[in-house]
Amino acid sequence: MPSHSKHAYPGEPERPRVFDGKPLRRSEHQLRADVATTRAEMRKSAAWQTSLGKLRKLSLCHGHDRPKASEKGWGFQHSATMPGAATSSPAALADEVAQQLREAFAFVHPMEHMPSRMTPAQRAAIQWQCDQPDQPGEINRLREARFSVMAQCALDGWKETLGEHSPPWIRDCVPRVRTTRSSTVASRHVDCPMQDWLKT
Amino acid sequence: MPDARLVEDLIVGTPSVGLCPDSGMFRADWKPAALDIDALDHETWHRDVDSQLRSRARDALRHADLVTLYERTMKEVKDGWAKSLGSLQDAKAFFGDQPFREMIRFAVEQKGEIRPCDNGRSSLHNLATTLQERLMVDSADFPARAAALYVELLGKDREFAFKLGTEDIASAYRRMPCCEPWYTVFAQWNPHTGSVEYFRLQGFNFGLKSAPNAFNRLSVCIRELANRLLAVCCTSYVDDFCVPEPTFAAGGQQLLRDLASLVGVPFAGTRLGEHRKSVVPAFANPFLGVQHDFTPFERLRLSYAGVSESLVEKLGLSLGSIIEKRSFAGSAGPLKLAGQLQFSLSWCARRFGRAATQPIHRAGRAMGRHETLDKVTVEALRFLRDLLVDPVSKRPRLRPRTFEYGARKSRTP
Repeated sequence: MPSHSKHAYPGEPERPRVFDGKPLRRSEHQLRADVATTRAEMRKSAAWQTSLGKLRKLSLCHGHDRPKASEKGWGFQHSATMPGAATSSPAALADEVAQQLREAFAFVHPMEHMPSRMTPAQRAAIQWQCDQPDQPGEINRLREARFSVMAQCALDGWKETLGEHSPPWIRDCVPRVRTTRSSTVASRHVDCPMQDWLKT
Repeated sequence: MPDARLVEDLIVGTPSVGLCPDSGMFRADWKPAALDIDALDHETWHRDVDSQLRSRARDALRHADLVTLYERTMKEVKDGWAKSLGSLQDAKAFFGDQPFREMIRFAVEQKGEIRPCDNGRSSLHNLATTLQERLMVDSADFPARAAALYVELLGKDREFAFKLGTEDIASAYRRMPCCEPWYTVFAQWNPHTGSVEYFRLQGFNFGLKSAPNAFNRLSVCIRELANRLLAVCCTSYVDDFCVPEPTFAAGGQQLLRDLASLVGVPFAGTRLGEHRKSVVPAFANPFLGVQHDFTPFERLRLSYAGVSESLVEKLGLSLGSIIEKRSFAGSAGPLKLAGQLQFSLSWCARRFGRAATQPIHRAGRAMGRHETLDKVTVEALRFLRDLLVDPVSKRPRLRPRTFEYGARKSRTP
């Protein structure tokens, strides 16, 4: 499997690497190949298949379109000149400037195209919220249930197996160890009828 | 998700230099490297680094800054993000036959605090980096856009209030693992021992061209998971997240925090609102330097947004100092200043005053930071200073902009 590293250019030999005075047992290519093998095994497991099915069902939006151009903030949206510009002269007097400033301050955003400048995923999230019954706390109860399902799909066992392929500087990273385990985070959330819905 | 290699890169690490992966998440844009890092003479560079750091340390005026910078690095060491390698000889012993190339650490002042930055430009790391995509980030008007979509979907007459909260990932660039730790080494002056000290770093350096793209793969992944699976309305701008939601959907920000912990990239603080960078949902809060105020939203379907008064005051003081010195020496530089002015003006005075930023742009392109400013540039700076801050009352003149979401029908008594 080709690596993204510059050492992965075709035909370029990989140099044995040293870390903490010891040669690294596996090259980056080998590590990536081993990760791919483990992930292939993981994908065959029943736990993976079940989790994937649940997450697909949970997802409000599928697919992704690569962005083509930057969305400009609202200050850049409108190419029209500012109010009062048509009547100003190059040698604008102070009171003309003051008038232009007053008009610029009084400008209210026209809100054109504002909702359309959301990503499909953001639109889907808002649409889902707007479609829920108008009962206090209902949206968050359903979202907590969604989180609970997500946490169950975290596959902590496979995460640890895959982590064994990490090179020493990633495996031994102290802050990584401090991160909360999925089960701990999930314990705060409640299970709910979502489980039955997912079975259908 | 199109970023199919993210999991593999989180396990093995992703390159910080050379050919960086195309995640497919951002705009395709080929930016080739100008040189090959392995073809560089690292030994000569090691000597240059030593000489540069010793030369800077001889400047007595810099001593306090060097002490503060060293303290900041020690905090990173304590938190587990950096590890001391010792002297150059110790670093060579650590990496053995593996060549390494260090960056020089320097201090950047941000919001009154010293932030360590590693100079990937002078070390040629950045010239040796090929990027295949250009970063795409959201803009500060996101809360207003989200509110507009809620109004469009629910209709103008559905009663609801609107709040926004923000989150921040601490030590963001350190969270994305790097596959070549010999290229993320940095060197700095140790003011206590009077010698150059080498460090290795977890993740990416602040100052590497590859760092924003690498980290944003992680940031965008969290945002998309929150949107698609948890139905949380949120956006991200590098390490800053914003959750603007109606009060009937309260709780989204806590879920976003839980999701980030689940993914292993927790937000600042152990609880919502505990850390100053975890801002609890409120009617009025800032996002990316813009203060949004949704207080009148429920009753009038209005919100206000504009740059904060403190930012305008700071910008006015900065302009005053440049005018007095007749040079950009000691400032953030003309191009950064022009960017800050354009941002502040566009949020408050639309296109007004933008023409006056042209001489500043020109100065950024053509002048050195220490050159004396010409009359035209000084006049433009004076105009902009007086536009930002009233010369008589000394109060910020810029006011927030109004956003109207469509008037509601009058309520029946």
